[in-house]
Amino acid sequence: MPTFTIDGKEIEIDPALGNLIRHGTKHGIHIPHYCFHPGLSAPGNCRMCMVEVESDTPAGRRKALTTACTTRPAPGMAVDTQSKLVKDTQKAVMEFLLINHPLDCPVCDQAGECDLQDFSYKYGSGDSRFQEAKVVQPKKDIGEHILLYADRCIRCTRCIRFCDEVSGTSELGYFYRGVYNEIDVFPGVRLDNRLSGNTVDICPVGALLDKAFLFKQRVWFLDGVESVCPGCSAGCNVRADVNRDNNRVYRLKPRENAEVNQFWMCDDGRHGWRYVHADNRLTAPMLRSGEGWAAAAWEEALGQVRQGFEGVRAGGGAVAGVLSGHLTNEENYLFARLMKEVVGSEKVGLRTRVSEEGDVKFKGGFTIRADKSPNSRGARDMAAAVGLTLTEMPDLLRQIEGGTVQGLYLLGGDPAEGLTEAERSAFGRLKFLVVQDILTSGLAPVAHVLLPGAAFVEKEGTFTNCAGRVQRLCRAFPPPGEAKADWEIVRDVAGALGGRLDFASAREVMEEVAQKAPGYAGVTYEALGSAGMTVSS
Amino acid sequence: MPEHRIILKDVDVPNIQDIEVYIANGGYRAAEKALKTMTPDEVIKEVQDSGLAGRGGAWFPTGTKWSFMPKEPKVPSYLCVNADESEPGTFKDRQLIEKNPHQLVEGTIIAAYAIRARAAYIYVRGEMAEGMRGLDRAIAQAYAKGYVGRNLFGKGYDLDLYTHPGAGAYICGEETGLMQSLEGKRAEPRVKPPFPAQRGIFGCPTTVNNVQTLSYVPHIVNNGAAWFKGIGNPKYPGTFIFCISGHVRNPGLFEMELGAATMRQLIYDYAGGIRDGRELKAVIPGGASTLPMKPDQIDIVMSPDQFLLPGRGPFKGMFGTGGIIVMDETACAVDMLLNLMQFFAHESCGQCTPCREGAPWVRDVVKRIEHGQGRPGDIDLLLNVADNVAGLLSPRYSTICLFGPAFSYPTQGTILAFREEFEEHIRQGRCPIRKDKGIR
Repeated sequence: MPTFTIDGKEIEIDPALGNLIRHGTKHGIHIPHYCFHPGLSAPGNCRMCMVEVESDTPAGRRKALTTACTTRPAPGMAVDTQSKLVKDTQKAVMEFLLINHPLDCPVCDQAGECDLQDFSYKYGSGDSRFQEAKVVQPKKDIGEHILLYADRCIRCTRCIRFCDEVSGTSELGYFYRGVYNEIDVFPGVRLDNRLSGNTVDICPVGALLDKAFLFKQRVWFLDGVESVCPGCSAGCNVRADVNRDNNRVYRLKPRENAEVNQFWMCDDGRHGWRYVHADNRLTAPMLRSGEGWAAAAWEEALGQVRQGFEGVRAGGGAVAGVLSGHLTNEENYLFARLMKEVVGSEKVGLRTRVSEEGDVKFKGGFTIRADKSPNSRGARDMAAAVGLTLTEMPDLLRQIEGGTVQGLYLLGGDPAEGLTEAERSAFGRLKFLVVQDILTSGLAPVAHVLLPGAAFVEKEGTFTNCAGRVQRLCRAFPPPGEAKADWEIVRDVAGALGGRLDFASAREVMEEVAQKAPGYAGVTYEALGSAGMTVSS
Repeated sequence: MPEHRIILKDVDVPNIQDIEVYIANGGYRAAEKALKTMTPDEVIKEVQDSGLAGRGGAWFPTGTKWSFMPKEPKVPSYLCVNADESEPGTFKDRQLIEKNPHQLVEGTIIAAYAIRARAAYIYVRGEMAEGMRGLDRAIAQAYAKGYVGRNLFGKGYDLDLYTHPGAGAYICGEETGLMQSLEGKRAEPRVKPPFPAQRGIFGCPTTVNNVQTLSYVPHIVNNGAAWFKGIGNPKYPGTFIFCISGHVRNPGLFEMELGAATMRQLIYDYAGGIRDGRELKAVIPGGASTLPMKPDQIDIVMSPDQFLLPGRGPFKGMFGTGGIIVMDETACAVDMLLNLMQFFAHESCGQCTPCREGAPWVRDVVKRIEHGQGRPGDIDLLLNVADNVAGLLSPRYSTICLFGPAFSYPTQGTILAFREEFEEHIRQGRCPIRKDKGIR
């Protein structure tokens, strides 16, 4: 492998990495930059990443100041990121960027995660030599989710390039000239593409702002918890930013995963988590009481579940189960075992929610999946792991309508739960319906027992996305009230029904899944890490 | 030494703008000769041997530039003619276009043939509406004669020739900004590499040549490389048009052999000397972005090799475009820099940080000084801010294109040459020069 050096350190050239910045990052050498983003083209406009590059040219060996973002390493090249000229240039660029920038960090959402602020400490100067009048640009409402405080903009054009190259929607442009030039939406257009929130993520300063997050929280109060977006089967890697003082999520941000979502996520997912803190969260087991519902202790609820299913069987009816594409592999696995081993029923279905619009693919390749269940692939894999052949839902509904199946244990977890007409009719005929869910959804009117489960940020587990990639959810905080992680509930129901599914954690469940599920060999939480693994199909 | 007119020779021939008159005066013989008797590579070799260098100000060898173009193009190759002449003080291309458009069209045909271009675009500064009309007429005539279009001179070579008007931005004259503009985009210069010969307009190999450069090409083809090489300075052969303006009695264009005259001779012998018998104060030698000279520096021979750029000569400045701006004692150095900086701050495309922020900053500080609000430290601040953009005396070059140096070098140069005058402004809290703004 040919090599070059950065600050004397010999580094192998990896053509897949491209420029000097990414080679440096891989080897622990940070070259500061604003306009460059690894998911976008490199315009070389901010001039922050200038380094001294010594290389062989037709005119002999030459040393020159150049932008690291637009320079690819060549064999024998020597890059200096620490020379006086480099440091002076960084300081100069910082000064240029700041002369027309407002000093409003105390009221800026970006403070604490602002490249301009951070680099100012690291590479800038403590005082300003600029005594002229600043150019002040306006604040603009440019989209459903997005505000543009143009006076904070450093014109790196990442947002424009995102809309040109990734979303392919090109709503943003560059207007006017020189120091007056300004990012804006084109006339008659709003920044309302379904990936618009990414422009806020990649804005290195506080110019592009998420309306939903604006002034809600200082970022230094937030802890990032690694998770997977539950919005569709794409399985975008996300970071849930939570405040542990009040156990609330404040935003989701995409996490880089070259195999899945690159650096992006869609607005549906970005804003789709708010049900976690919805008023209609189930926070205790609920038992039907006349026309209404009464909260119950777990003991009592589990007793009811046992009695209910025993009653169904005593009457000659069968008990069926429904897996959920919204619950984790561990939960679906335990549930499949429960049905097969404890309940003794092979009648297990799987409900998924598929959008009629189909997959929505963007110019840069990012795709919003039609399957709105984050783990339907995993739920199927778990049924297979236990040796269950899934019953098609129409079949199962026919068996309910026909009176063969009279009891049903249904896993929910879909925040946008909606019953089809066929389901509403069939479920209404059941003698006993246990629904395990997170919200009082459309299932409540037909259920007899509601068991309160956990949202994706409230439990450990894994989802398997549409491409067979197994990825971890991490628990940020406990579920509200008496609610429990769904795998715990399934385990406890098994106990109440006289079975034993003694697992102490979701991690333990995965150890068994790895042995049983086809293609999951070797999957452990350690092996999954933060980027996941693709299982063989 | 008298003027040596090659490309200005026929400008005063009545109706030379008409193709018949142009042909009657020997026109299109070079195009015919090149296309009928020479291969593209032979044309390139001829121009290389002639020593012709780019007259846009960079002085890069023209034939060498052409040789970078693919010999067996897989995608169309293009020629761009840079007629976006906007450098303050420079007005030669406008004359060449308005007075002898067919000379440019013929040069363009030959150059396009040499680089195997499928089409050529003449990017004309929007303000040159008259020249644009003349060019369009000339091109239409050339099409009618079969000198442009299909199967030129029966040699199977096809060429389309278009004019494209600019919309009034200086940066469109930067070759990659020009290409962006031609593609319908903002004229934001591109990062090089890739160079235009690798990826130019529409992503295809492109050569960009200046109007004056191409105007020489028919003469070189007609008379041979040796003829051109033998004119003037062997290092920078040929003639060059000096555009002399400002406080002189006889401003105008002078086509001179390079190396044939000193700056003093140009000002006093050709341009008639300083008006009203006043004293010379400063002269900008080659367009607004070149460093000003003081009266004790004007005995320099006016040839690129006498300048640090491009010829590594003794004068620490650029030779530039031939746009000589002469100022007498009624001019104020601070006011001059303010005038330049108002232009540059207005024209910065704003793409890259140092230029976008630096140009108006320098302008604002210079404006304060000129208006009596200068502060101690302002001069060093200006020198440092300009150096942070591109250093005249340091290896710093921090912008995407040459626009950065184009304003930071003359800022540094003007202050270095006239520092006392800047200090006097600050000390007195006013402009000490009794200015005569009326340039007659």
